Amino acid sequence: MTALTEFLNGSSYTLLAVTFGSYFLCTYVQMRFHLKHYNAYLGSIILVVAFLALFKLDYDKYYSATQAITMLLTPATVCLAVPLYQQLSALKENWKAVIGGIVAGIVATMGAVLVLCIAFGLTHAQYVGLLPKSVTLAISLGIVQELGGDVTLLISSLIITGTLGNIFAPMLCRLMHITEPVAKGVATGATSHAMGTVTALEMGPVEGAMSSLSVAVAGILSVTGVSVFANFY
Amino acid sequence: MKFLRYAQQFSVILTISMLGEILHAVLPLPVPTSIYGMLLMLLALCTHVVRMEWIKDASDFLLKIMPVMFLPSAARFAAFWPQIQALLVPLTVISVGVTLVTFAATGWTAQLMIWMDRKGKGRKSDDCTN
Repeated sequence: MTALTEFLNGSSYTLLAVTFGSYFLCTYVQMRFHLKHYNAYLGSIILVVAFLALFKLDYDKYYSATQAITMLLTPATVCLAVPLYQQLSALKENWKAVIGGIVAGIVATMGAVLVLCIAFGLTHAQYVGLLPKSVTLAISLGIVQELGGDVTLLISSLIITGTLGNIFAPMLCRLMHITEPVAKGVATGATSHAMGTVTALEMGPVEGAMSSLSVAVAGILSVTGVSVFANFY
Repeated sequence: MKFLRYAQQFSVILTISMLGEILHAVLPLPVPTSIYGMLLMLLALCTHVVRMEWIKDASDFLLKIMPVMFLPSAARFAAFWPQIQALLVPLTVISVGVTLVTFAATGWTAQLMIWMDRKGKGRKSDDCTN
């Protein structure tokens, strides 16, 4: 290990600068050159990982050095109530569809995980770890730990699901002919938790509000879903 | 005065987060601090305990930089590589496949229910005019 690697591993500000810098750079490039089929978020993940790999840095140390940004997630999630409040009338009008969509989504998700886990011959712990893959980490981590599920698999599938939603939600809506703004928001939030909600906020005010709400509702309802489905395999 | 406004707005947001933390500590439910906080903030806005202009700028700022907050978690995924390598095929198929299933089931059900609701209401208003 070189002295540089050692220094960078503990340097919070270098790592924070790289994190913010990557996001800024990728977003700037996208806006400056009007790149339609390029995702700034995916670009910045690749840049950060490339930086860490280049200097042979430790990922866990990177994660703890950048706790300062991760900590802001709680107040930011609290602020998701703002777009939701601004679209309260859309919620009052469509609350049945919001709940119905989320419940259908939870049952379909867990059924699909069950079938695929049997098909691949995974263990019970792995199955339980994959069940809440659409549920915001703050909720799913607790349930999975309690039921003795595989936490590594949970976090991996959660990040893949969130990142897919963040990048592809608008495209999925188009391909699946989901045109109602409320339905687009609910699908994005219930599938890809807060990571997808970031994209839903860019799609439109109704989409963003419904996605924010869906993260909370889907998360709370999934607790029951996971407890029930965990007994099936 | 602008800096003071931000200090005040962050104070309100952090106070609500604090109340969420207290609820999380006191209530025996598996609901995290952030979700309690979000519901409390919605309640506070609806009951006008908190006014929109007390939080708007700071809230916009936090929501705008939210993608950056997910970068450390997303990059950390690379750290799991040695552990998940053996399960790569099932993990990829399940993660991608089930994401499509969830998205379709949620989106289509919600959309269908909105359309049915609208149709029902449309018919009802037709009856009224007849």
